[in-house]
Amino acid sequence: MTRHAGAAAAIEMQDLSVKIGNTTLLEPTSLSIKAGSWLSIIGPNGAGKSTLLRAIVGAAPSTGTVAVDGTDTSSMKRTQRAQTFAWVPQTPVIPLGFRVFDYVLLGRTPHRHPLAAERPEDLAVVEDVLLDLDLAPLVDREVSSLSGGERQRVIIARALAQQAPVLLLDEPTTALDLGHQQEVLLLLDRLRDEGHTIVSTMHDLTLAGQFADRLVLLAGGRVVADGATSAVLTEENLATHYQADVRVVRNNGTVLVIPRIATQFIPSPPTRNPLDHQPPRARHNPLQRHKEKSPTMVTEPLEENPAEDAKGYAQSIVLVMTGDGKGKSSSAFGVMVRGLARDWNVAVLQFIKSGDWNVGEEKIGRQLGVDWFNEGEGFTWDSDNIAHDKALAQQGWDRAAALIAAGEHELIILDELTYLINWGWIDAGPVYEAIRNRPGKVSIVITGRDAPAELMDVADTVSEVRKVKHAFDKGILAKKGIDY
Amino acid sequence: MNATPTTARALWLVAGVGFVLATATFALLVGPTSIPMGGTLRETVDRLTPFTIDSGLTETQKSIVWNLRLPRVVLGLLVGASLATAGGTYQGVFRNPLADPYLLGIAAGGGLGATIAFVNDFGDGGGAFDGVQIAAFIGALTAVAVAWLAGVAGDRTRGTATLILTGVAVASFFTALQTFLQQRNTENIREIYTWLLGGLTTSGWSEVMQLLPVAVVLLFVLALSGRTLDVMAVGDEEAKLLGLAVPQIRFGLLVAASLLTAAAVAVSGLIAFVGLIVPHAVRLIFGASFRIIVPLSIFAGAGFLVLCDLAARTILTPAEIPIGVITAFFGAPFFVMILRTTSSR
Repeated sequence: MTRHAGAAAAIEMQDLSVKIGNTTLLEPTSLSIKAGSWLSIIGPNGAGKSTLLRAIVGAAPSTGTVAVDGTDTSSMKRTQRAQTFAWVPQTPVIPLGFRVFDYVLLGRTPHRHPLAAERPEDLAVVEDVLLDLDLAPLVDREVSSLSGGERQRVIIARALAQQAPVLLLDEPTTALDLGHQQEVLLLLDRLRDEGHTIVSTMHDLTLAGQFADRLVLLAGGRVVADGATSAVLTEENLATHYQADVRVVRNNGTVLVIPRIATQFIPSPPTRNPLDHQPPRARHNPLQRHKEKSPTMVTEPLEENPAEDAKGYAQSIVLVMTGDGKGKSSSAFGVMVRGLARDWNVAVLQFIKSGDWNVGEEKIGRQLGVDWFNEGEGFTWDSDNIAHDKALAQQGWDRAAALIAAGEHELIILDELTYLINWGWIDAGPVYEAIRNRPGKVSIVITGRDAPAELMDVADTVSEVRKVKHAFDKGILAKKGIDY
Repeated sequence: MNATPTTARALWLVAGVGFVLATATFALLVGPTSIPMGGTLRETVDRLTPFTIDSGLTETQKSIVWNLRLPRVVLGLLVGASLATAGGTYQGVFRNPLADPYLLGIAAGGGLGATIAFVNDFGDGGGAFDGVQIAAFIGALTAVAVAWLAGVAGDRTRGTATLILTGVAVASFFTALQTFLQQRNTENIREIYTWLLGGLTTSGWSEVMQLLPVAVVLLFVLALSGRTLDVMAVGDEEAKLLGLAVPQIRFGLLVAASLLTAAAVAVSGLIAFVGLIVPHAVRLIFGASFRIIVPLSIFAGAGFLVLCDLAARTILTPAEIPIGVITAFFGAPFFVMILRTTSSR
């Protein structure tokens, strides 16, 4: 089947802009879209995503030019344009009672005269598309009775029946469940591989980044970022343009965008209303008088926690895990997991231990979005250059100090830090100082044998893990998954 | 998979032709005067086809068949087909199930025209065209034109809702004028009233010959427009992006449907209900595609109106019941029945 008229089409936009009255919906935008590629337009609500898509297809009154393979679309006839662009709207009008066949046949409109009957070739194209999209069993079903995923396939089938090289899809997956989103995106992925040029708007950033060749981030009617997924989907971009507090996690080439829900767990005193500290009587609350009539309903404000007030945050704590038994770091990573569950920003700095120890917590921590730093190259018996190790240690501590001072993490784990102090590889004073002066929300967990007295002094909680016996004493070697 | 829907459509069209022939034949054979059925059929074949057959009827009987029954049946077919098809077209163009051919003021305009003619005694001038018919035709088209100009002209960006509302306003305005004229001229009130109720009274073949050319051409054009109405069903924006010149097409279809309606109204008055329910009944039974609704409405409307007229002229023989009474009295329960049986399956 010749699914589309010619080879894939390249799109060239020059200063394309949309203005309705005095409101500019789209600032002059120039983009080139490669033939046979998939461009996804992302951006917050009202950014102009659909407007840009509609301007390309000619559904929004625009200035500037759109050319497909060098042909200016404004010089095209309406039917020629519909043979070039196939449009899949976000919420298409499904006429009541229309059957799948009738609906897909509408895609042949640009290929026939308004008064002409459908030709055998029109029927053949419809048949091919229906077979290709596994819609043959549904041909006599009413479109409105189909499930969301089936319906979206039917709408895409109508677009394919137009045999246009460019597919424009407005939020093709928004109303679908996960499985159907995947199904539709894989279908589009295949259509791109078969030569279609695809332009879509997408709300789901992770999916947009996963499938598109290129992302264009719009905000306020302007392109603010444009490029590969990893370049566009950054925490900074999303914070700036979506006003969203998200974590961006990179894993095996996929970029995951995960909203933080930390605000549910941490009270946010900076915006606290000062009136909250006044007794209820002083407030101009119309309900208050009513309440006073019934003494049992008067409620006293909760006692404020002075520590919380002083730091401006719920208390953070410093936890030291020391002693000669197994399980100090394991406990710290237990705390790491608890912090992640609260959607905290967690950082782990591993001193001394080397990256090629290949312990599981690093792998899983990184997958869960932990900022992980390996600051050492193994215990001294693995190393033959102490000066080098010392330099690494200082460098590692400097990073730790910077992370603590930055105050962006709710939890920082400093694994095996005590060795650096005890061996004199770093100055102890600045360590204690940095911990004492940490920003209010930063909790710190420090592990390592022989914690110095002053460190225990600055800590809020100190636990000692005592060795009762150790498998190694009996000659049993480390068990992967339990030991390092 | 084969193109089942297309094959099925052809079968339905054949069935439609059969339905029309059956109802027309039945209506032809029944009347207040008893005439041998075989003779009636032979006379009809003799007159309408190149074959020459001796019907064996008396001259009076021949005259009743040729000058009374046959033109009335044919007029019923044409008017029924015209109103049903125009109604289906209006419903498609406006994407509104409540639309009927009188939506944009055709009935009110036609009524006003006819009333003016009766009041001023333009009636039966004895020529090929009747003054009332001409006045009704002009009045009907004037009303649509006013509704179109006021509702659409200068603002094509507005949807069809504005046009519908303008049509309602124009209809009220023309009805007000018509009622005023009618009340000022009570001596004409009976004939005006009779005209407003509609009826297939014929004077030989003249009404048929006036409607026939317009109806044949426009029914043909509208029957071909079903696919385009299907495209319009997805809304203006999507239809445009599918390559359809929506404003032009809508204008063309409304002109065709309005001309057809005005021509039918001119010869038969305001026959209610046919243009509303016939296309709906077809939709409910045969499916929502206008590729089916429009062509089948031609046959269904033709057959339905002929049957209604048969009832109108036979139930209280020799008196006639206004056909609008019959279309509503039998049509409404029939329609509800279809609605119930199709929605419960």
